Amino acid sequence: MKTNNLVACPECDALQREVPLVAGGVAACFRCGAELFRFKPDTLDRTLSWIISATVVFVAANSFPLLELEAQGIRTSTTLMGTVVSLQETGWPTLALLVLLSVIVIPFLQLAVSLALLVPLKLGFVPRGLRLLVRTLDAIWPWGMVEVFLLGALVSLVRLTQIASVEIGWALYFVGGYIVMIAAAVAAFDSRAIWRRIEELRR
Amino acid sequence: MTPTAVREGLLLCECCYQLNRRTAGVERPACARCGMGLHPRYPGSIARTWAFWLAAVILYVPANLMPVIESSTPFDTRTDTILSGVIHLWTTGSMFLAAIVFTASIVIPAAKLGSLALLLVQAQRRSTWRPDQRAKLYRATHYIGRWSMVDIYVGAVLVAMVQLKAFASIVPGPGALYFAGVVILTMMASMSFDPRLTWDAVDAP
Repeated sequence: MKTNNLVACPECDALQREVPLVAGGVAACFRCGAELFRFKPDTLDRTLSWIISATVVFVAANSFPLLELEAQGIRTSTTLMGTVVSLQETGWPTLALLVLLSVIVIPFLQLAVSLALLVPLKLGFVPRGLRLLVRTLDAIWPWGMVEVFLLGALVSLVRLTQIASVEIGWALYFVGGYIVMIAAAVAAFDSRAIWRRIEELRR
Repeated sequence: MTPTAVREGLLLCECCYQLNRRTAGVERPACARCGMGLHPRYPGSIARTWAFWLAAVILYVPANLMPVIESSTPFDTRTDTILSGVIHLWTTGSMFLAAIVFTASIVIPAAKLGSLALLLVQAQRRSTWRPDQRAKLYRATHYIGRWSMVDIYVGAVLVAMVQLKAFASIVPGPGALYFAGVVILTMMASMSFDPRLTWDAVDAP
C-alpha cells in the first residue's frame, strides 16, 4: 500500500485518500468529522507576514502600560511585566512564574521559533535543527494564553471602573492586535505545504 | 469495516502527521520526517489521563474552599472564594461579569472533569455508544479548558493595579494557587487522552 496520497485522521485513525481542495475548501474526516486540512494559499508568505507583524505588536504590548488608575490622588499603572512583579512582591512567586511563562515567555518563544523556522524556508534553505524547532513549537503552543489574559484584563478593567477612574493603556490595544495577528498566522499556516517546501529545498 | 492506520500497519506522527510504515524489529520507532517518537496510541493514555484527572479532583477541593483573593480598605477586609466572588459580583450589579467568571471558573472545570471521566470510563469499557457524540465532547473539552485560567489573570491585574498604600490593596489568597493547579492538570489530562480510543471499540468490538 502506497502512503503518499493517504491521510490518517489524528482523532479517530480512519485512513482516507487525500482530496484536492477548491478555494476555501475544508477536508473533514469522513468518520468523525475532525478537520483534516483546509485550503490555504501562499501559506509561507502569509504566515511569515503575520508572524512578523505579531512580533512587532507583541514587543509594543510589553512596552506600554495596560491600565492606569487614579483614586484618592494616587496614580497607579501596570504593564504585562508589572503584573508578574506585583505577584512576586505580594509573596506569590509561583503565580508570578505562571503568568510570566504563559503570557510573556511562551508567546515570545512561539514567535522566535516560528521565525527561526519560516525565515530560512523563505530565503531558500532548510534551518539547522529543523526537527527540534518543529517539535518545540508543537510542545509549547497550547501553553501560550495571551487571549485568556486579555479577557481577564477586561474583566478586571470593568471591576476597577466601579471603584476608581481607569484609563485603558496602549498595551491593551496591542495585546488585542497581537491576538488577531496570531490567529491570522495560525489560519494561514498549512503544515503540509511547509513540509512540501522543505522536501523541495532538500532535493 | 473502516480502514485505519493501525490496521494497515501505519503509524501517524502526533507532531507532524506524517504516516510512517511500521517496521518489524524496531524497538523505538521515530517519525522519518520530524523525529518524534511514534506510537499506535498515546502510551499509557488511560492511566496517565486518570492520574492527571485525580490530581485535579484533589486540588479542586481547596481551590473552591480557600480564598482566592483578599481585598482590604481602611474600613474592612474581604476575603473571597471563587463562589463568593461570583455572588458578590452578582449582588453588586455586575451580572455580566458574574456570568463570565461563573462560566470560566466553575462551570468549565466541573464540566471538563465530568466529561473526561465519561470519556475515560467509556474507553475502558470499550463502549460503542455514540462515538460521534463522544468525539464532539472530546473536542469541546480540549479547546475550552484553557479559558478557566481567566480568573487567575483577573487576580493578577487587580493585584498589580490596587496597591494604593493605606487606601486599598488586593492580594491573592491560597485558593488561587490550587485553582491554577486544577486548570493546568485538566489541560494535561485532556492532552493525555487519545481520542482514537473512542473509535477503537467501534473498529474491534
